[in-house]
Amino acid sequence: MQTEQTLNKGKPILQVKNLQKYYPVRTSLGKTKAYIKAVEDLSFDIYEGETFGLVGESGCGKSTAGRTLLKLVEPTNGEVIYRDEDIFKLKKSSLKHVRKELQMIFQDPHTSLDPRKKVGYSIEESLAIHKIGSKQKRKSLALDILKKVGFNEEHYYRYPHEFSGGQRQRIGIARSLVLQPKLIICDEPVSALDVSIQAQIVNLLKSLQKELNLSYVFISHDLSVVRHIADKVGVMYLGNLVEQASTEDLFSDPLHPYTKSLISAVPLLNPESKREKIAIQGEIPSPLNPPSGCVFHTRCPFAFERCKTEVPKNNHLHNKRTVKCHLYDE
Amino acid sequence: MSHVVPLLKIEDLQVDFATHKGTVSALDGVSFELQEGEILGVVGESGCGKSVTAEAILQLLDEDSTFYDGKIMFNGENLLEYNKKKLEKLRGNDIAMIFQDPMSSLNPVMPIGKQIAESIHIHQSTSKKESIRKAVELLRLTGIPSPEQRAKEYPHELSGGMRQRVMIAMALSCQPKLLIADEPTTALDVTIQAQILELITSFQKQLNMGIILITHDFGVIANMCTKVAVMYLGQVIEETDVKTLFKRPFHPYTIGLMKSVPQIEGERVEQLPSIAGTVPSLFQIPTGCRFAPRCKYASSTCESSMPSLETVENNHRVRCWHYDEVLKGETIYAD
Amino acid sequence: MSESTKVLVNKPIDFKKTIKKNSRFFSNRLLLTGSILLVITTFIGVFASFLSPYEILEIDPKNRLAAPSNAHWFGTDNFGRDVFSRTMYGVRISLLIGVTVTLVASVIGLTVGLLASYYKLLDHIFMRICDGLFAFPSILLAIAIMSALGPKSINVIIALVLVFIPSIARIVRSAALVVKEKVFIEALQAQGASSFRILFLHIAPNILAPLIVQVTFVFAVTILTEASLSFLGAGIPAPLPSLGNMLYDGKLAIYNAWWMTVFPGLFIILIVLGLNLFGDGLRDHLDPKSKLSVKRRKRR
Repeated sequence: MQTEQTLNKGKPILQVKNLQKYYPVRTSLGKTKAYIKAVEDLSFDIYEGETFGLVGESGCGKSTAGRTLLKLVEPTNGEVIYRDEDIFKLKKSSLKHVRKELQMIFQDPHTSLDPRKKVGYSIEESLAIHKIGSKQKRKSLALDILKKVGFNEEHYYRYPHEFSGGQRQRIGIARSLVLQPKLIICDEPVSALDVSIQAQIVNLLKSLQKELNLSYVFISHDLSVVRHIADKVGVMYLGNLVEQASTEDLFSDPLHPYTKSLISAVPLLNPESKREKIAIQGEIPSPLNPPSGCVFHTRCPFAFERCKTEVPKNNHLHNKRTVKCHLYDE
Repeated sequence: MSHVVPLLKIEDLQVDFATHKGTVSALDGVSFELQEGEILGVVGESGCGKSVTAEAILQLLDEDSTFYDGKIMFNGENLLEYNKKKLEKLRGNDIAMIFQDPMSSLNPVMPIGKQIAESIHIHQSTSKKESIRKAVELLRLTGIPSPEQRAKEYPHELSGGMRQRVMIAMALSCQPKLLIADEPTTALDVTIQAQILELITSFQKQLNMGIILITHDFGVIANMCTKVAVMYLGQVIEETDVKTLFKRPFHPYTIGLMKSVPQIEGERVEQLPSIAGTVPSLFQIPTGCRFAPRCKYASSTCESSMPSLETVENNHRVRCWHYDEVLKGETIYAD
Repeated sequence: MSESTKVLVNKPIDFKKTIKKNSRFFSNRLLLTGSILLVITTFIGVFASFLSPYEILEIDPKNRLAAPSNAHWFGTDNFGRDVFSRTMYGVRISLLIGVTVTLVASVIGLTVGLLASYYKLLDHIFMRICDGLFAFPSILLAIAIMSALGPKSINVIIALVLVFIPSIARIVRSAALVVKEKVFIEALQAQGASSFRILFLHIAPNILAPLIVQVTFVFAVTILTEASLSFLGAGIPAPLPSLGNMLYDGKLAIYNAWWMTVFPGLFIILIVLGLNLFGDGLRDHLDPKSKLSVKRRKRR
């Protein structure tokens, strides 16, 4: 377990500062009449060899955040500092260079690989795009990486449809890994897989992390999986990072009311458990028309007057925890 | 022995599909029963046949390429012998079904109130006006705010959770005796899942319905069901009441599966224990015990002959040659 | 020769096995019939010179407008030319034009469609141009272009290419838009792949299925349009025979020399029918969800 050491390991490898992504909603004539605030003021740091879990329910903006981070989606505002440079300000050629080191793996194993290309080709292509090595060298690198994720040479020559979902996910990991990245953003990598395969993939990610000193941003709606793999966790609701803490702290002592209800909503594997349930009513509001003040106040069982009018600021507490909630204002 | 006729009794159900690659056996001798008021959980991974079982009960599978064998006894009558007319009368009425993805189960070009009213109108022969009134009432009962307004809306205007409530309203509109729920909350957020499961539970209590709940989520099973059947590759491999399943599972697959699920509480482990290998394709079913190739307790007996579903304890059935060794070998999954 | 090679050489073609292996193809009646028709007409087109007993330009005024006989299977036309030979060559020329137009229009249409699917600005420009061209009935547009360019065979090709680029571009664009949403495209972008690579090495191969089906239909319409143009006198100039201008020659004599129009017309039908059946069958064949060779049986 890498809790305390990694939290204090010198400088972070990646710093996300005030990331913002708004989608304009235009009228038929092209005028902007409103904004979908998909990501609002997101900030966190990741250290080498560490996993940052980003959790939330659908529509909270976690997937958008992952893509905006890598500039796969044009950011509205904010900075992402990697190797002392803001990657948003890089020129196209330098950004391409950075992409080698900041990779991504995706959720849907069924469309994450080109169905018309052999597996070996897809993996080598990563290298070809960055002009790494000769044709021979690329083939041997691809074969090596396939072995690392549990395949044999024969699999190099096969097509994606000949593999199961879990296997395709491993190929996707291989495709990113062959570039020797420093950080991988994992966007719901196991959500579409069977339970027993989920365990295999999560185990693989963990052992690769240990071996290669990788960092992960692990995006998921499944709290149990995140608890298992992450060192630090950030909870998102309607585009806002409402709480951030070490995994240990977050699950043993959740502070934000949303985090509390989220954790208590996960059914336990014990038919006889009597657990205090903090149920929240209602539905997630539309991101086109988010509530005023604290975005969670409409469903919060602890909301009071101030919550309706004033947006809570990010309170920094002990142990590197942050909470965006008036209950914890100094 | 109970003298009461079980609500649903599936006996040796066999379902085969004709595909262009040949005939594939999706279900091989599935048997279980459900009493009135019981909630049976059917759990397993993809390819195990849990959805096929659900669809087979109401014979919703493709007519031209599906073959059935065995018996599906509903209140003492074999549904496989029903003609089309009798089946239509039964569906939505005595037996109702809700599906995983409400978006594709609802008609996108019809207002939801009308869709519910249609079901009521067909089975209860009430007037159109009366049907709509009943539909709105049902929407209110399923917890949808401002139901009169919502009834006029289309499925795409509602969130996933609300659509699922509409599905439930439709399913319950004729007060079915049996509800088949096929992964009803898999596509929903966890907080909404909790609400929907709560809703199903309250309706179950009111109507004393029997429910078949199909899911891959053990947490849902633990919280909702009274009885559980675990399926693998077209067969039931373990069946017992829910408390026993979590306290003392016998089958290596059940144990392996439960252990591979990460927990929200309890000890955090470095590597999740996982089951070796993957589920074989239905076109390449192993001889002997179907789980043998992936089982760490497998012996030569396991590879050559198929164990049958035996009763090993009170109401606990297992399909395994070595269940007693398994029990000794594993740390019991308990809380 | 060893025992094993002897067996290989003497092994008869096991038809039953080959048919079973390719059952999806053989049970697809549309595809099968269409393919047979196409094979026949292509054969004619390729071997027209061998099949023709007479020279196509050779006139024989003594035997004008002769009915079909042993000497002239399809009779003679108003110049005494053998209609059979001219029909065979007509098939060749029509097919040649069809192939050329289809190939050129496909290449240009593919490029236009791909670029339009990827770049919003190009999308607006290209698609508005295509919409404009599309608004004209293809015959009228073809005639308009021919009048501007002049009556030469090459201009027929140019005119038809311009007429058919929009329909191909549209199909390519909509199929490409679907593929563009797939995750592997996003993965390539995350790798830093160039747009060229994504468009031509990844999206293009994945839209081949709808493209090929559309191309067969475009081919068929090209044949028809060329025939119509020639029939109206705006197509392939005389004396070269195209199935269309043979109809033009025959229309005045239609009551007393039916063979001048019926036989060329018949071959137009065969080619177009073959292409349409082939296209329909191919669409079913390429659709993995169609239940082509699943045996349907009665429920117990």
